[in-house]
Formats: sequence, C-alpha cells, structure tokens
Amino acid sequence: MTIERFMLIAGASLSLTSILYIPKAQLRKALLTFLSFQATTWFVSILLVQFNAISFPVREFTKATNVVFIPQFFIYPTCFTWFIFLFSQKNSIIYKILHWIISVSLPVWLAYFIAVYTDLSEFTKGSWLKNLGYLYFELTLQYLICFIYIKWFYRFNKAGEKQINVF
Amino acid sequence: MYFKERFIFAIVWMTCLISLWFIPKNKFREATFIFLFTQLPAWILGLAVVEADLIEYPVREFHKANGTNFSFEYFVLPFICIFFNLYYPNGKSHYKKLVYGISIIGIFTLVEYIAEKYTLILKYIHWEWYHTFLSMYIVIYLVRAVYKWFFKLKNPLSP
Repeated sequence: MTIERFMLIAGASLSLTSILYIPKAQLRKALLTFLSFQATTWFVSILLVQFNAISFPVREFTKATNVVFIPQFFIYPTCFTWFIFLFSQKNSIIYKILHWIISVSLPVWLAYFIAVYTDLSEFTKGSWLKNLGYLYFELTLQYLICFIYIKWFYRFNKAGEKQINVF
Repeated sequence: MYFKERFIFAIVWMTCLISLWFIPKNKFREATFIFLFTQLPAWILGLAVVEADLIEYPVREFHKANGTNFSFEYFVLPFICIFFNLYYPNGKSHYKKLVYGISIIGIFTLVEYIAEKYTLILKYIHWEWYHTFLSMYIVIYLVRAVYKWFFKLKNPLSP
C-alpha cells in the first residue's frame, strides 16, 4: 500500500470513527458544521485547481475531478466539527484564542505535510513560507465564516425566535 | 465560443439569485441547511457518474478542476431541493403529494433531456432519461427525509 492510499484510508476511518464520540443529542449540530465546512472547502479547492495554485496528483476520482475527494470532503470538515464541539463560550479569552490557534493549525499543518511528503497534493508555485502563510490565511477565513454561520444558525430556536448562549 | 451554453449558465445563475427572493424569510435558516446537505449526495453521485463514463459534461465552468457541472451540483440541485421542501403540500392527500413530487422531478428530467439533445452542457453516454428520473427521485426524497429529521418534523421516512 502506498503512503497516499494509507493516508486516505486512515483519514476516512478516523473521521468516521470520530462520529461515535459525538453525543447523540448533538448529532444535528455535528452534521451542520460538517456540511458547512465541506461546501466551502470543496468550492475553494475547485477554484485553486482551476487557477493552478495547487494540484492533486493522486486522487480517488481520476477522471471525474482533479480535486482529491476524501480529505476535502471528509477529513477537513471533521476537523472543523471537532473545533466547534470543543469550543466553549464559558472559557476565558486566552483559552479561546489558544483554541482557535491550535484548531486552525491542525488542518494547516496536515495540508502542508501532505503536500510536502506525499503525492496527494502539490503546491505548484511559491516558497514554503508563502504556501504556509496562504494556508493559514485561507483556513482561518474559512473557519471564521463557518463559525459565524453556525452561530447565526443556532441563534434562533424552532419557532424562529432569537436565543442567546449558543454553545 | 459555446455561446449558447454560456448563456444558459448565466440564466441559471441569475435564476438562482432571483429565486432567493422567494424563500420566506423565516424559512431562510432551513433553506441553508437544505442547500448544504443536498451537496453531499449530489457531489458523490455526480462524480461517480462521470467517473464511470455514464454522463459527460463537454462544456462546464471549471473545466480544468472538475469533470462535472459545477452550477448544477452547487446551485441547481440544492435550489430545487430547497423549493421542493419549502413548498411541499404538507397535510394534503398522498395522491397530491405524489403528483407534486413526480411533476417536479418530471419537469427536471425533461429539461435535462432537452439540454442533452440540443446543447453541449451534457451528453449521455451510457445513460437514459429514466436514470435521471430515478436518481433525482432518490436524492430529493433522501434530502427530504434528512431535512425532516434535522428539524424534528413528524414521520421523517413517510413522503
């Protein structure tokens, strides 16, 4: 088994297994966070490939798309889901900042190491520092957008009335 | 080049944008969930269909990145599902619900069939119109079931 295939299978099984650790009452929230991140990741990935910023030499659907599927569709969204789940409104501001930094760093360095050590993705241009900076920028923005969306979504209760204390 | 196809894409994007107006404001939250969820089965099915050489999309938006039609998976199908669910004849008879479902999926199938015949947006390779009908039926009712489960509506599995 090649390292690429191992990464895909391991990533997919880890993401799937992590579903078991989500409390049953929170399954809806988990699905929504997952979907919001999935849609944005997929959109950004297609744009990046189209404009030659990144390429994915080894992928599942070799004919149907030039974007690798499992990481963009399952692994990164799962990272974001766990970011939301481990986020707590009650903690201090320092804790929250640390939580943000660590959570964003996780997919950033994952994407970076995948690009450097495997053929799952390759940066087509730019130095390593530039690419890393770009990854931090892109994922922070994406986390922020999805975070705001989740907050907005759960500001309302079933009847459409505004609620406070979301997380 | 491909003036006709690009014109259709432009119309489709405009229609999606304008149709945002017709989503009731208090249902906007539900609409975003349907929009996001539809993409999960849509992309998996769409990619699998192209990978297996069943349908081909000669003219598409991101021709380098993606072999399927981006507007369709990202906007058209989610928007169809949004309006399908928000204007669903709840509380009416089973017969009316069935007519509602079949007519929407039927119109979609017909439009796709015409697009296949007269434009280069898509070409059926090993595919027939009833495959479209069947796959749309499955996707639309899957989305509806999950939508009902998500918002804790009654009987998620009944039509």
